Amino acid sequence: MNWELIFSNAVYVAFSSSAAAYALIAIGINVHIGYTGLLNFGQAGFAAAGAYGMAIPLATFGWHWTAAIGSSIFFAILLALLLGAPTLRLRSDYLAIVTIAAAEIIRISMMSVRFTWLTGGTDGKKGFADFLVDSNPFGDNRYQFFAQSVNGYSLYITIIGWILVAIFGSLVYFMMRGPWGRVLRGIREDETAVRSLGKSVTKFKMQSLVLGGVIGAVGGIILASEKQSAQPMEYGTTLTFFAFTIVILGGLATARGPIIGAVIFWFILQFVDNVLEQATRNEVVPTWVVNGNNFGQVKFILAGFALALLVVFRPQGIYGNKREMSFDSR
Amino acid sequence: MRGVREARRQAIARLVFAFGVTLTLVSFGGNAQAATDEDDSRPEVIVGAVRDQYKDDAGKKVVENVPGVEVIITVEGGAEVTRLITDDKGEFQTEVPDPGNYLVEINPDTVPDGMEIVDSTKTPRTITVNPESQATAIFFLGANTTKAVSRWELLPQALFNGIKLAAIIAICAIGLALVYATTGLSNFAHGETVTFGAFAAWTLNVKMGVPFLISAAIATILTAAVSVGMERGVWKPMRQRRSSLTSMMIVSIGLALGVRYIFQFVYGARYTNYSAFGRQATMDFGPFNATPRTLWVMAICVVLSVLVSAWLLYTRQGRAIRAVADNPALASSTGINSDYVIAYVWLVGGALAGIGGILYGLDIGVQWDMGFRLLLLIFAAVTLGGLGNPFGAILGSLVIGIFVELWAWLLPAATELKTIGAMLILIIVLLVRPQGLLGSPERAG
Repeated sequence: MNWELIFSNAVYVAFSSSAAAYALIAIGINVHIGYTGLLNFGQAGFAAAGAYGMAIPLATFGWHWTAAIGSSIFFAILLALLLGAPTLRLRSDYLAIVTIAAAEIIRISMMSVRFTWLTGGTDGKKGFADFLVDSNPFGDNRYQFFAQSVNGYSLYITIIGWILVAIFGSLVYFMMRGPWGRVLRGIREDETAVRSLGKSVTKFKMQSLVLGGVIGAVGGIILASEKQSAQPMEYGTTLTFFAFTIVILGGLATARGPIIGAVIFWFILQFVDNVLEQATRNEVVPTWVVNGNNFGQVKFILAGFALALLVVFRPQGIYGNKREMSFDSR
Repeated sequence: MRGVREARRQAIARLVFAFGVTLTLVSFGGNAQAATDEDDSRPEVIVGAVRDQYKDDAGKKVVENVPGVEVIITVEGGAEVTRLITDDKGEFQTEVPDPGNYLVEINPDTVPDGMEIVDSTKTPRTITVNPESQATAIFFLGANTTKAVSRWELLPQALFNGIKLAAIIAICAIGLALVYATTGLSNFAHGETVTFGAFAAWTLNVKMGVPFLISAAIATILTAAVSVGMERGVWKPMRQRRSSLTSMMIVSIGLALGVRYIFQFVYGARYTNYSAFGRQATMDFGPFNATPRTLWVMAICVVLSVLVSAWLLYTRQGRAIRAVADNPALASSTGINSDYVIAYVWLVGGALAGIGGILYGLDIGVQWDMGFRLLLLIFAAVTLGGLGNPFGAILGSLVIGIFVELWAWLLPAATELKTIGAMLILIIVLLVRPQGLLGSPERAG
């Protein structure tokens, strides 16, 4: 068992660009469920809109990268409007079912053989990351983090990712402290009261859905940029519920919750994964318990039960305020 | 406070018990281990094969080798490397000069008459050849059946398949709708209940050699027991703690995710079949074909749906369930024990989901995420019919099942998109009639 590698890799992953991408996706979810009380179960759909919204114009139509990022944001806003229009006036479980269905529609369409020329099919959309590769200041150098070696490109995307986390994290922090954020919290606590103050609840909910969706789309862009490929399988329901676990772990309706949550979540997951990987490779554990074929599932099992147990036993997470915890307020 | 702590302790004990049941099943599962041998200093090679894959009259999958097909290999974005003709085994092999990406393509003019390249086989296909290793490309051809039959002649078969899917969705959906009606919970773990039924039957049947019908019966009882166990161990304590429906829903999602990957952990990702009713001759009913197995699956679903509807409408217990669904407080005041009624609902819903899973496994094979894939269709059916209305759920299932297969019939080139149709119709119905087909308007509020 190479403990140095196990630890250094887990720490690396906890601060990697994937963790940054998940932090962004979780910040988006936090705007929806934490501050506004909107049950968005389709955050993966927003992330996919972000990833493919950028990858397709760049790789297939040869747009400039600024235009491509614009298109990615445009598609996230469009998706929010499409999902919000029929459901925001209804009870919250309708939004949940419609968003999860929409996210699956997007993923299945992206995987379709029919549209492979456009979306890359099951192999994913590649060939869009030239502008990132060209602007990478670290080149092909490799950097050593204890036993973990990191290449220049990954380091570059990681830095961009965490800068974006800082930008959107503080944006959400300041917006939620202002009057706009207070209206959202008011909607979460008591819609009718907010309506009696003359605010248009549906309009505010829609703005919240758009803001959180766009942040999720930025997370999707980072996720795709790191692999230089938009992979349809990554934008499944698991992504949404990992983000849920992250935001509940860190603390709903707190600005730092999703960020700290992402770091801790990925550290634990990667640590367990590494220990099992080494244990199975060195045959420390008998193969009927866990083996090279199935150790990878353990992290999903852990994440799932962690989500359930957190909601039951510590719904406020690490930083949350139990009184502000949104699910039990109604 | 003591009460809460006690409830919490019991909740943990019960969770551990539920885990134990799962693990017992788990220990009978198995994992095939794939071993790969690596060899030093080999040249870069592309190997592959062209196969003809079709179902014979008995519905059994047959794979045959196709010799004499020309395969063209090109450097990606570059020059042609070679052209090969598949040998008697339908295989081809060549060394390529360098590692890298190559395009492998079947020359469509050399495909034998009566066969065509199936849509799922990609040609040309990019494959990556790593240094000192070989890359594989297998192409599938299929019998060219679309030529002889017109679209309209395929319609009855599509409708029949739709009704079959609807029947399976319906008996899974009843449980979800009843639970929603009595407790307000949208149970995302319902899909895993379905999968549990299928795997319980599979484990008993294949791993332990119990005859299929007996394993199916035991699996149904087990699924019902686990379902009631979840109610008593998780949902009832949560209701007693006055947890909101949202947190219960998120707990159900967490449990679903965890349990789903336990299934994959134990049983792997492959499809498996029961040891009975595997190969059956198709019976010709004129406009459509069906195996006796399919007919049995449909008959069982229809009979069960009718029985459950009658039970809900005409028995004391059924009336009690509907009373609790309409107004729990009023129901309690008339002397109905709502906890008992809810446990009953979970029992019946779990048993139906288990049967649904067993039958779905009979139809398409048993796989770790079968229930999850069905779950979105079940939710679509339940929402479409009117959340919480069991009769609406049956009607919604019929619409969803038929719509899914009709979509596949309308767009034969994109059958992988057929579940999208169901979700689109769900969204459209929510736009015009948010309470669903049979729902009462005040429920949507």
